[in-house]
Amino acid sequence: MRKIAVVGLFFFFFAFSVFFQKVAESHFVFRNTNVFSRYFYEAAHYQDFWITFFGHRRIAADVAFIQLLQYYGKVPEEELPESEMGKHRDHFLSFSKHKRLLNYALRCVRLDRNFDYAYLFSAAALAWVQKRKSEAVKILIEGIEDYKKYNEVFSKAVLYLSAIQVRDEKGDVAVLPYLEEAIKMPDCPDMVKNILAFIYEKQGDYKNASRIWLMLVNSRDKRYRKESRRKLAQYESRLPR
Amino acid sequence: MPDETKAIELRNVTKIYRKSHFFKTTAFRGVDNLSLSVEKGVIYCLLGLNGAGKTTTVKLILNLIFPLTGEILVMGRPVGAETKKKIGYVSESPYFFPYLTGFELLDLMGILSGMSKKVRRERIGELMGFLSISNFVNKKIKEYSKGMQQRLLLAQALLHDPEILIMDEPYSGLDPVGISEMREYILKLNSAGKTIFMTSHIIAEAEKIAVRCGILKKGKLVKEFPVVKGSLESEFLQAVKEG
Amino acid sequence: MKSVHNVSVYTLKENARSRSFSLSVIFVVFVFASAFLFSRLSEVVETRVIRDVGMGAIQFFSLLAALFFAIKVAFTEGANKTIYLPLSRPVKRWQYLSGRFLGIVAVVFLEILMMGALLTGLLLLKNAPLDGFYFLGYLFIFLKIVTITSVGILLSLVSTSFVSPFVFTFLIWITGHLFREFDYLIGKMPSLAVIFLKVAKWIIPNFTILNIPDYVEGRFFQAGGYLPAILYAVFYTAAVLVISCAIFEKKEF
Repeated sequence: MRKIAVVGLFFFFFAFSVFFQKVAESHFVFRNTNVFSRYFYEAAHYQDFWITFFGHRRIAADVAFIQLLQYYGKVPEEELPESEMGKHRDHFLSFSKHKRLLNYALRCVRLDRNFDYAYLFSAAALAWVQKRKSEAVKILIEGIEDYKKYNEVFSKAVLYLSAIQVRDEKGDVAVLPYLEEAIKMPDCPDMVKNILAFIYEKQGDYKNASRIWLMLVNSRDKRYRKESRRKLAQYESRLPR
Repeated sequence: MPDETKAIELRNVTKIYRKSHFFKTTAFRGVDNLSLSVEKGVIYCLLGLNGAGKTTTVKLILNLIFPLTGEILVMGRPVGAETKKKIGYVSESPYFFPYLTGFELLDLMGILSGMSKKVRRERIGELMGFLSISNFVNKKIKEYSKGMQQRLLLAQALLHDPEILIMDEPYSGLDPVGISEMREYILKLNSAGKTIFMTSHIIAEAEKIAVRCGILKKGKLVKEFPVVKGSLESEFLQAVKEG
Repeated sequence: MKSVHNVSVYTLKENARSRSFSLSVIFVVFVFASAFLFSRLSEVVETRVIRDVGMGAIQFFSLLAALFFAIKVAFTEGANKTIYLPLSRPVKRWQYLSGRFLGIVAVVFLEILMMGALLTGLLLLKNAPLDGFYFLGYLFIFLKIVTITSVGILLSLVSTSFVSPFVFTFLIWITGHLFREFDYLIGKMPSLAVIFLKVAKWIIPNFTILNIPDYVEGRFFQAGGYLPAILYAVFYTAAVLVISCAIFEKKEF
C-alpha cells in the first residue's frame, strides 16, 4: 500500500513537471544562434562553448565584446610592418584596418542576440571609421534578419521599406522578388497582389500575371474580383494552351 | 503479548553485506544466524575481535541496517520508530554536526525524539548537571576535546530518558581519566535501572562492569556466559582461538 | 511536519556557519570586485558586465555550495557516520531527509538574498537601470539551484564516492542547459535518437526554461511562461525528492 502511494505520488509530480515543461517551452522563444549550428562555430572561440554550456551566454558575449574592444584598441600583430614588430604601435593605429573586426562582432552577436550595443558599435566603427560599408551593412542585416524571425510587424515593415527603396532606385523589375515575398504572407493586402499583377503585365509576363490574378478571383473586394476576372478572360486568348 | 522481561532479543539474525566491483559482486556475512537476548536491567557486553560483527549487531538493533533473515525485538517489539524511543545510542566515535553548539545538538536530538520544548529544556538542564557539560555546551562542537565530545554523546543518548543504552565501544579513544569517568557513568545509569548493551574489545574494562558477556567471532556468537571476575580474559582468548 | 521544520532550521544554522558557505560568499564578493575591474576594460558596457558577471557568480557559487551541502547530507554524513545519531531517533527517515533538503534550500535562499542585495547595491551606485526582469532573474537562479540540489541529493544517495555525485550533477547541469541547443539537431538525428532526447528532457532537469538570468532583457520568454516554468521546477523537484526519500528509507548505513 505504502509502495503504491509512493509510486503514485512520484508519477503525480512527474506528470505535472512534464506538462508544465511543455507549457513553459511553448512560451519560450530560443532566439540565440544554436551552438551546434555552423553560424555559431564559425564565429565562436572554444571558451564560448564552455561558458554557454554552463548557461552563461551573456557572460560569454561580454567577454567576446571586451576582446573586440581590445582588438580594436591596438594595431593587430598581423597588420604591423615586420620592421616595426615589438615597437610602439600607436603611430600605426590610425592606418590599421582591423580586418577581423567583423568576425569579432559576429561572434558577440551570435552569442547574445540581445547585445544591441555590439551591433551598433561594430557597425559604426566599420562604416564610418574603417569605411567598409559592406561589412557594416552585413552586421546590421544580421541583426535585422534575426529580429525579423520573431517580430512579424517588423519583418513586414522591413520588406515593404526595402520594396519602396528598390523601386525608387532600380525600377519595377527589381521590386518583383520583394513583392513575391510580400504576397506569401497570409494577411497581405489584395492591393499589393494587384500591383504585382500589373507589373508582370507591364513586363509582358502574362503567365505570372495570371497566376497573381487567380489569387484575386475570390477577393473580398468587389473591384479586385471584377478586375481579375476581366484580366484572366483577356489573357485566355494570349496564353498558350 | 510482548515479552518485556527481555530488553533486546535477536532470533536467528543473518546479515550479508554485498559489494559490487564492476561486474563482480562479493558477499560477506556481517552476522550469521545470531541469537542472543539481554535481560532488562543488566549490563551486557558483546566482545569480539575487529570485524567480528559487534557494530553490525548494534546497527541492526538501531534499524540502521536491515537483516536478511531473523527477527530483532526491543522490549518485546520488532524494531522500528516506537522501539527507538526506548533506546539511547552512544556511537563508537563522536560523530557530530561540527557547526552546531552542544546545546543545539541536544535540542535537535530532543526534537527528533518527539520531545516538547519544555521537556527538552528541563532534560538538557538536568543532564548539564549530571554530566558536567554546562561550561562548554554553548560552544561549537568542532571546538570540543575528545572528553567533552564523549560526554555530549552520552548526554544526547540520555536526553529522552531511554530504558536501554546501547554503547558501541564507549571507551574508544579516551584517556585513563576519561575511561574511569565513563565507567562511573555507566554504573550510575545501570543502578538507576537502565539496561546497558555495550560492545568492547577492552576486556579488562568489560570485566569490571558487565554482568553477562557474549563473544562474537566471524559474525557468530561462539560463547555467552555470566561474568566471573578474573576469568574473562582467558574465556575470551579460548573462545576466539577455538571457535 | 514539525520535525521536518525543525530539522530544516538546524540545517540552515549548521550550513550557514559552515566553511563552504563562507567560502562561497567570499568568492562571490571576490568576483564582484573582479567584475568591477573587468568592466573597466569596457566602460561602454560597464553595468551590463557587472550585472552579468555578478549574477553568474551568484549562480555558480550558490550551485557549488548547494552541491556540497547536498552531498554532505546524502553521502558524507553516511560515510562518516554522523547520520547514526539522528537516524537512531524515532524520526521517520523521509521527514529527516525532507527537513535537510529544506534547510539547504533555506541556506541557498539566504545566500542569493545576501549576494543579490550586494550586487543590486553596487549596480545602483553605478546608476544601472534595473527592471523587473533583473529581479525575476534571482528567483529563477534560486529555482535552478533548488532543482539541482534535489538531483544532487538523489545522486549522492546512490553513489559510493564523494566525487561521482559531484561530477554527474555537473554533467546534468550542463546537459540541462543544452536542451534548446539539442532541438536544433532533432531534424538531423535518427528517429530513435529523437525519442531518446525527448525522454531525456523529461528525466533531466530542463534548465533552458529556467535560465532567465541569461536572458534578463525578457525578450525570449513571454510573460505567460513564467508561472509554468516556476511550477515545472517545483513539481520536478518534488518528484525527485519522492524518489530520494524512497531510496533513503531503504538505505543502509
